Amino acid sequence: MGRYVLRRLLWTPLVLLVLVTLTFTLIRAAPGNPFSRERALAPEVEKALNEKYGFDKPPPVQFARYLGGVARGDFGPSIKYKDRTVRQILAGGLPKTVLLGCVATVLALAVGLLAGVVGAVRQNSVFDYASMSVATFGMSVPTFVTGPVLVLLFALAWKLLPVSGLDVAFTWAPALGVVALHAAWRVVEFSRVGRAGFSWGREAACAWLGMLAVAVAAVTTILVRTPALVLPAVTLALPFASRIARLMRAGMLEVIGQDYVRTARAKGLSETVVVVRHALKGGILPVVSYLGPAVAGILTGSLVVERIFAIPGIGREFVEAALSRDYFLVLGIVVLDGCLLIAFNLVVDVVYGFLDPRIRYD
Amino acid sequence: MTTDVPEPAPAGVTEREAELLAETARGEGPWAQAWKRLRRHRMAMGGLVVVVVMGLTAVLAPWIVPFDPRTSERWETALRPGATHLDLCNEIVLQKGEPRPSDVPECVRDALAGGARHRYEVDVAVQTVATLRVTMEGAKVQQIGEGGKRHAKVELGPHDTLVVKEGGARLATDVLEAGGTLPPGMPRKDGRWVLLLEWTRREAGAVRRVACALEGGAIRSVTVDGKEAEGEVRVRAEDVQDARLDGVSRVHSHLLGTDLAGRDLLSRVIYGGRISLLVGLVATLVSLSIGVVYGAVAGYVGGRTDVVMMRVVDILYALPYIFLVIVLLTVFERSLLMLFVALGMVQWLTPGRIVRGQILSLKQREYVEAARTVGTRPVKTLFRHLIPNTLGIVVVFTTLTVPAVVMEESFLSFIGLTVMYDGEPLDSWGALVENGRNALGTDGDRWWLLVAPAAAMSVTLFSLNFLGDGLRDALDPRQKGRG
Repeated sequence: MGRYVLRRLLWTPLVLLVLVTLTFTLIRAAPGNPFSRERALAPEVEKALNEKYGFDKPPPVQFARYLGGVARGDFGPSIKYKDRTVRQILAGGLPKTVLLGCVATVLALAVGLLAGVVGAVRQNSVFDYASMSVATFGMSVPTFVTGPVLVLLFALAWKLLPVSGLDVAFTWAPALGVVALHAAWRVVEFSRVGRAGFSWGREAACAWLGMLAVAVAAVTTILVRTPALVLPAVTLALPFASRIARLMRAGMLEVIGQDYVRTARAKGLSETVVVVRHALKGGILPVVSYLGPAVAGILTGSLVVERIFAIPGIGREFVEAALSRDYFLVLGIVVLDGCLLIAFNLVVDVVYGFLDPRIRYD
Repeated sequence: MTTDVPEPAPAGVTEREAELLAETARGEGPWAQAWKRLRRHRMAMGGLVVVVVMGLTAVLAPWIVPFDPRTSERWETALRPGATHLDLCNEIVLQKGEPRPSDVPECVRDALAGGARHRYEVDVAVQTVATLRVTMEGAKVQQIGEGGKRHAKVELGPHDTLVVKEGGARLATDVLEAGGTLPPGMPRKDGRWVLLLEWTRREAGAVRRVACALEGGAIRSVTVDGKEAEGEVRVRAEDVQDARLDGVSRVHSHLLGTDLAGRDLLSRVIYGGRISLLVGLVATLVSLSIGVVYGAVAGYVGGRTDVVMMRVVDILYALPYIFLVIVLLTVFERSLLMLFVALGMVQWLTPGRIVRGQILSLKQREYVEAARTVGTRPVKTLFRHLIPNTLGIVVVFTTLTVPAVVMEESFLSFIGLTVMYDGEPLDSWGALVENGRNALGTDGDRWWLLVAPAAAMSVTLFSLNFLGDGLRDALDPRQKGRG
């Protein structure tokens, strides 16, 4: 396992380098320059501007200077917003995007996993058909279609939710309450089972469920206190919840037919225990391997959702920057997103290896 | 041995069994079997029908479209679905003699130019004008009276107006009720006073027929409800219910309404589908061509070349592609070709991997060995034997990728990166959804501008996905045993 992680970590800088080089090349290959969009400038002014931003040096030198800057944490100045650096803009927008992304992810996981498990356990029931149809629909319709339609229905026509306004209100109480409940549950279990029945493996498994429950509680608190966040989070989460539900259901169905599940049932364990303790761990594998592309999709999806709901995150900044040729901002966002994605993919692969010992890394 | 004549069933065998026996005797190829399996999947067949219909609509668009999607009408407001209007006129003025070109609609102008005899009829909604006596107490409405009647509430229809008799100011409200107040900007007095309003309203169902005879380039006569009219007859375009030239209706009816610039929405949605589906198809084919060849070469050659090629794929896989596509499109011109290339380049990785996997397993088959024994060159083996056998997976991949590409293209046009052709933007469904979203209005007034393209897109994508699911189930070799 350690060797695998090490090898992945070594690949990471290479992938990032390719990403930055590619983006840099594309941008610099553009006809015209960022200043030509406004009115034609006097040659001296243009020359001064080029010097200021370093565009007068040959491209490889510019690239080297940029890399050096990034290594120091300096992403360059923003050409569009003349009084701020890229780093400031990113720092301002990142929290909002991350918040939206996290809320959407937790929502998608909670709803998707639940629907998938229940659908698999009650296969071919009304719930199964209904949820799978909704899932196919949610998967095939893009966010920029569902978003405005949801806005039309819930905010404009029926006036149930506000369209924008993002003062996030949060209390710790419900989340802490869930933690307390989880601790109480484990303590009761321990008192029942005693020292002999205790196992770290089982605690770890329960801890995962506990963490998911805490996340759900936290997200519910946020959504209830900040109704303006509901529509963007639901819009963003919908396609992923759909995919997760389908994957979970397929995974569970495959696992439920296996011999070890039959053994568990034959031993007389209740259906819930069989599902949660035995089948879940195997059935969740396709979902875990989907999580990497899912986060990538959530980052991309935030481009749309932030635009529709006027949320000042980095997704919205990216499109504006690309359209107005703000090179440094575009590069900065691409690098940032690349890092996030690669880091997350690494984590996901490690978790996958932890869950399924059959995987060999070579 | 295959034979076309089914053998007679032995005695004591049911019809179903006889059918199965005949089938086995015929021997079906894998495609026929797959088609049979697909037929049983009801939702996939439904999806297939929808996709075929959409495809036909897209191809036949220039001939079946009711209006030119780029022509905007002169009045620039959004009309509701089902709205009708005359072509290019706000008000018609009909009187004897040669009319000014701006006074008559286009069809009449064309008819007059011909010089032959024509008849033009207009059904005009009847409007009545009544005087309302509104008794006010300060700014509050006490009573509304019309003639001898009293109204508790006066609601205006879409074509009605309330005008203050003195000064002609128009009331900016749809409702006037006893106990309520006047809208701001209206005259106000203290104590008890009376406000006189002129209420113009359209009588439901009542229609006045205006007819005129055209001959020799001029209007010969004008009649209103059969009676000859003296002087000029003015008709507002919005009062026209129907207009006929020689019995043929010349009123434009917009099935889905128009957008804010007056362009017919149905035509725009059809043309939008044309662009979206075209881009989806071609970009998928581009990605297929690159991916299949790449994967086949990697799988067939094997060894270190394969490892290197797959490492490249792994690296490229980790990149957030949509960002690069956006950068690409903002940097270079947004032509159709550029779009195909950009989107095709995003998708080729997946068929590359899949085809490589298939080739790796197919490489071991006997027919490949046989071909090599006979002396077939590797390239020929690749193209003649191996690649055609990956077609099953490739077909499934296509049906699942086309919707993904359609979504990506719509996403790009949603952001504003619409495809440009000859300097004009080609609005695909994504652009229409964005337009609709911006034009919604505070209460969702102009909902049809969003709902129409959204529905078209959802239905098409939904059907494509179902079709893909069905095809995957039908072509999956694992199902053969159970099929």
